[in-house]
Amino acid sequence: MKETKINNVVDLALGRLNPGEALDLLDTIGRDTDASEALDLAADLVNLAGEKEGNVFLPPARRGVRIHERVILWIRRLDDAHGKVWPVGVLSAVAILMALGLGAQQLISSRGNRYEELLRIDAEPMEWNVRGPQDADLAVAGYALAKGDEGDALRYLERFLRVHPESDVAPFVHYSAGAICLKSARSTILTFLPAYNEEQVMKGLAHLRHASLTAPSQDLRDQSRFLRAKGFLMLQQDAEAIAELDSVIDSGSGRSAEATLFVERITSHR
Amino acid sequence: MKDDLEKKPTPELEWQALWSAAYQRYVRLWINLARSADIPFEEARDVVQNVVAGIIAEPSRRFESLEHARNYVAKSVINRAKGYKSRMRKRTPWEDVVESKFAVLEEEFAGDEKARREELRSAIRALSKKDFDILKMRFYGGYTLAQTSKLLGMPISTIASREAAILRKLRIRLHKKGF
Repeated sequence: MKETKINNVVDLALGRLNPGEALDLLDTIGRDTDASEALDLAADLVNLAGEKEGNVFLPPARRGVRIHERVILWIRRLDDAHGKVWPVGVLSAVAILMALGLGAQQLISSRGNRYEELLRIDAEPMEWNVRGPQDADLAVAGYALAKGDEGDALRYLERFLRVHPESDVAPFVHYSAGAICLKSARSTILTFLPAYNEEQVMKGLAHLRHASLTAPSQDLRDQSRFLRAKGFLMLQQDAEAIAELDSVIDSGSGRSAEATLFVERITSHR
Repeated sequence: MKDDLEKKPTPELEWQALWSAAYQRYVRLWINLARSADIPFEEARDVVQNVVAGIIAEPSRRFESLEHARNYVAKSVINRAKGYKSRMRKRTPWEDVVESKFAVLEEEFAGDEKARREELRSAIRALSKKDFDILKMRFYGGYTLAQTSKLLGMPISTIASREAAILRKLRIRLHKKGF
C-alpha cells in the first residue's frame, strides 16, 4: 500500500478528512486488505491515545505534564464537555485580559519610578574655551553631541579624561560626561514605562562626584550635586539624594532655596 | 477472536460478541469520523450511539466480519453526521441500550482487547524518540502532517514516510504476536 494511502487512513481515523473524502476512502478500504488493517491499527492507536489511564503518549507522572499541555487538554475537555467553543473562547479571553492587567500592574509597581517627574535633565550646550592639542577630543565630542550621538560624545569625553586627567577643564568635562550618562540612562519599556540603566547611572554619579569635588566654581559644584541628586532618585535612593541637596543648602550658595524646594518635593513623593 | 467472529452463521451470542468487539474497538474511530462533519464531541457520540442502537434494534441485519461492521457503521455515521443539526439532537436512552447490551459480554472480551492494547503499548514504547514523537503528535495531539512537520522541524515528506513505516512496523509486530 502506498504511503499516501496510509497517511490518509491515519487522517481518516483522526477525523481530519471531510465527509466526502472519508466516504471515498472507506470505499477503497472495503476493497483493500492492507488499508483495512492500517485502519484497524489506527483505530487501536486512537483508542490508546484516548485512554484516561495507561495512555502511552502521556509523560510519566513523576516528570509532570508541561503546563501548556495541561491547558490545551483542559480546554479540549471543556470543549468536548460543553459542545460549544464560544464559552471557552470567552473564558480564555477574560482570563488572558486579567492576566495581562495584573502583569501590567505588577510591571508598573515594580519598574515604575515614583520620582519620575523630578528627573528631567535639560540638554546643555557644550562650549569650550580650550586651546592646543586638548581641543581635538572636546571639539569632536561637542560635534557628536550636537548631532545627538550621546554615546560617541561620551566616548570622546572619557578619552579626554584618560589622556588629560589633570587638565584645568577636567571638572567641566566630568560634569558634562556625568550629565550625558544620566540623560542617556533613561529608556522606556513598552514605550510608556520609564526605566533607568543602573550601570549608566552609577557611571554618571561617579563623574559628577568628581566634578562636585574639584570644580573651581561654586555654581558648577552645586549643579553637579543637583544632578547627583537626580541620579540617586533614578535609583530610587532618596536618602542619598536628600544628602546631596543638603550639602547644597549647607554651602549657603544662591541655590539653597532651590535645593530646599527640591527636598520638599522629594519628601512629598515618598 | 477475529477468526471466531467471522464464522457463519452467527447465532445470537456470536452476533452480540461481534458487536461488542466492534463497539469496544471502533467507537472512538466512529466518533472521530462523525466529528469530521464539524460537530462537537458530545453530538458525535450521540450520532454513533443512535446508529449502533438502530442496528442492534434490527436483529435481522448480519455482517460478514468485524471489518464489514466497522465500515458499515463508519459510513452510516458519516452520512448521519453530515445532516446532523443541533436542533435534531434528542437525549434518548440509546446509550443505556447499547451499554446494557454489551455489558454482558464486556468481561468476556476484555482480556483479549487488553492483551492487544498492552502489546501495542509496549511496541510503541520500543520506538525511537523521533518515531514516538511523530505518533504522539499525530494521534495524541491530533495534528495534521503539515503541522507535525512544522512542530518537529522535519520535511513533510519525511514525516509522511516515517509515519507509514512506523505503522507498518507496528502491524508486523502485532501480527507476529498473533493479534
